Amino acid sequence: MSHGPKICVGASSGGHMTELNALLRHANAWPAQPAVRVATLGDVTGLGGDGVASYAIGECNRNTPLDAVRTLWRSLRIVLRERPDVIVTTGSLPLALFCLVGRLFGARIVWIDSVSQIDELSLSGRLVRPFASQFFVQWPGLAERFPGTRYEGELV
Amino acid sequence: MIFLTVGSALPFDRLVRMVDQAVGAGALAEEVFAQIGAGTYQPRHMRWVRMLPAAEFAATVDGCSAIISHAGIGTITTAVENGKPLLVLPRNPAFGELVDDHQTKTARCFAELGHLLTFENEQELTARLAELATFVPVPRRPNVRGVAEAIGGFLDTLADPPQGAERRPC
Repeated sequence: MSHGPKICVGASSGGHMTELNALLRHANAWPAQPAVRVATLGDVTGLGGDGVASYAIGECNRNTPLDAVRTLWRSLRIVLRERPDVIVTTGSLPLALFCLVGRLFGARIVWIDSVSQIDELSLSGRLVRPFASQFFVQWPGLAERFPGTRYEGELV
Repeated sequence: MIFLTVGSALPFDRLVRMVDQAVGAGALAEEVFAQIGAGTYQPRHMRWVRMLPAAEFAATVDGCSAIISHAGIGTITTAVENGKPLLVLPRNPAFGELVDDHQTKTARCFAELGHLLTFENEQELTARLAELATFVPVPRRPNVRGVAEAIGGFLDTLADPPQGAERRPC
């Protein structure tokens, strides 16, 4: 029986999920294993797991505000049901909205900006940064330019 | 066989059309097989499907000699991990293909590091296709363990105290 925090992991389907899956192959370095997994598309490929609750919050971006409302609503229902202690995510915007809702209900946020963000933080990363407990980047130059961000290497 | 794929979320007709026309013009010695996703342009000079199931996608990557795609991290990672030569066309916000131009930066940066080849317009395509035939990608050296351990260090601070630690003798 684990006494670690209740961990929720999440990523947008596609490249962000590729990065998250790479990280999760080393989740044995954590005090507890993820109990909740969040994707954006219904097909949570690679996320099905024993005893792990999996959810899809839908795709959205800065040009689809109605989709964002749907993502926020789904996020609220998941957060209220699961009450994670911490959310670990590789983005993108739908997961930033999920983190926002999670933080409102007490979850700590661990954000890893995508390796595709080379000389700027992502828009979704910038949204999350003020309330993230840990903010990782995957290019050393970013960590030098943005105080409070950490570079520990790359996921892919 | 060269595998053309444009990712799962968005169409990329500009790339599919360019490659289809190059095949039609005889610019490629090899057969091209395309996964066109949500695109509306239907190739006339190459075999194509909308979307392959994950297992078939993996088998196609395994069997191909090179990959042509958008500059998405999922495809880049797949190609580099499998040692496949990769040629990318970044999605361009000017054509409504993405919300920003981060794929152009990604492509240029990964190309500088020797992981892939990139092109940004039709004029560059023929020369890059010729390079692709002999291109050997530089492998990446990610530090996933280091990132996972750094996150683990933070998660440890959230862990409940071991059972009994807060019990006081009665």
